[in-house]
Amino acid sequence: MEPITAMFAIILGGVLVGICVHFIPASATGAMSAATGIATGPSMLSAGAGMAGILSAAYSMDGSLAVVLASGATGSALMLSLTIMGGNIANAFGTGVSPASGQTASGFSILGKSTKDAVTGWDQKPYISPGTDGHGMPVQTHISGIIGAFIGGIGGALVLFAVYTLLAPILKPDVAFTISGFIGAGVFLINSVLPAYTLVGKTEGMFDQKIRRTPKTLISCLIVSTVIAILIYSAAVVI
Amino acid sequence: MSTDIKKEFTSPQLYLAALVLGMIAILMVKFSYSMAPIAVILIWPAFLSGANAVRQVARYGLGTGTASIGYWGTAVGATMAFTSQFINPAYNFVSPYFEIFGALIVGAVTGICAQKIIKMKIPVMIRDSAVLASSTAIIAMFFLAILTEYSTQVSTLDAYITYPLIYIAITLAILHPFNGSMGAGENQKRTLRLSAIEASMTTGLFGLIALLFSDVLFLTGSSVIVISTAGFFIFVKRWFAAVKEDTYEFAWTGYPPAEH
Repeated sequence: MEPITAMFAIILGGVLVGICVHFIPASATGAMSAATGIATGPSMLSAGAGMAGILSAAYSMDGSLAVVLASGATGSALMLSLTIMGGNIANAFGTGVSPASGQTASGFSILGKSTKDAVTGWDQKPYISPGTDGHGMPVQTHISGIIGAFIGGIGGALVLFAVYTLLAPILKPDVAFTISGFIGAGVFLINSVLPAYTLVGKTEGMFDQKIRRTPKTLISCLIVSTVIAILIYSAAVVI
Repeated sequence: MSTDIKKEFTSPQLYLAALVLGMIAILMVKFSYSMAPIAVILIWPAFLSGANAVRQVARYGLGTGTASIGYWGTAVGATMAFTSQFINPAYNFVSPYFEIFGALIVGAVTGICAQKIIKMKIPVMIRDSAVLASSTAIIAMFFLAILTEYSTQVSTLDAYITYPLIYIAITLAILHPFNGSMGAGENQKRTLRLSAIEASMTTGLFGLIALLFSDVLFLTGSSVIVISTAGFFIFVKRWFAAVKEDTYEFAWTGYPPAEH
């Protein structure tokens, strides 16, 4: 990969990271089973999935770009899927509530007035506990989370690969590799906080109305990632 | 509760102190290891500036946690500081200016995006995002300098094993003072004093890391630990005095609490 291509890859990776946050279901009040989504803020959860992706991609750095991206995406999606499964087990057998989408049950999701799960067709309304905005992660939310983590994993792996391409000619392989990993993680954290501002701390994923705010995230992350990519490129290639 | 209005330090005031003293500290460390005990005192204002920036932004209610903004700030600062490791040695004179002002630019651009595109209604977003990112870059640059500048036996690149620690230690020292002082009675005096405690703890930790990192850093590490420990005790005393003062204002009515 040419250095200038690597710079554009860092920008693209940053944008993908930003978009992925909109797909990953997260809600702080999920900790009390009072809202649909994994019980933490969207940015921290996405950052966690991204780190898992970068770690996973790191094991395949000897391969081609496609292998690195696939490895990052798979690792990230696996991490998120297991987190969702763990959350659902805690909700079902610990709290005693079944996974249900609050927005779908109230007819305010992106699916319109339908109160049924987009994947299974199961009605969500009867399963909502009074006074809550859903709980756990139903199937449509789970699928959305996996798609989001997949996108984020590709983004993280792309940044890792691009920075490594820039650094490999000027540093020892192990040093270049470690620094690339940390810069990849840094770019992930920077871009995962901006969408969290858009989501205001809670989203049910791609069936949430907030998915319509993705263009704002896309533009913001494009601008911020461009500045970061230019600075990294300048440090590695120009000076 | 006291009703008198106490004057607070503004973000630009704290940042100016952090920038000037932080730059002096980094350059002192680059100049001679014997300056480390003084330099470590000069880097503490950067922690205060970062913690104050978190406080300024987070008290508006971000929609994301205080932890997230702390992680974000350090992600920008530390990422920019780590780029110093692959700048061509012939251009070493651009360091630490490139990294610190680079972080300032990324912080400001993020603040502009949050304010103008995402339409967050936080008037200090642009200013304090920039201050936060730049303050963390100053601290990260100082820690990299303290571990690598003293001897040709320690290559600058050897410090890469300390990156995770640099990242997490700075993050916690920046985000925790506001988180730990939150509540109805939160005020800048107590938050900054807690920040000073955590600054001295963090520099003390890196004194220990310096000791473990290389034999040639023995004097540096020892002196940093001694100064940091002295600072820690002074700051704890000051912080605890502020806590007691505020607690009495809130809780002490002159009567013991009723038992129900």
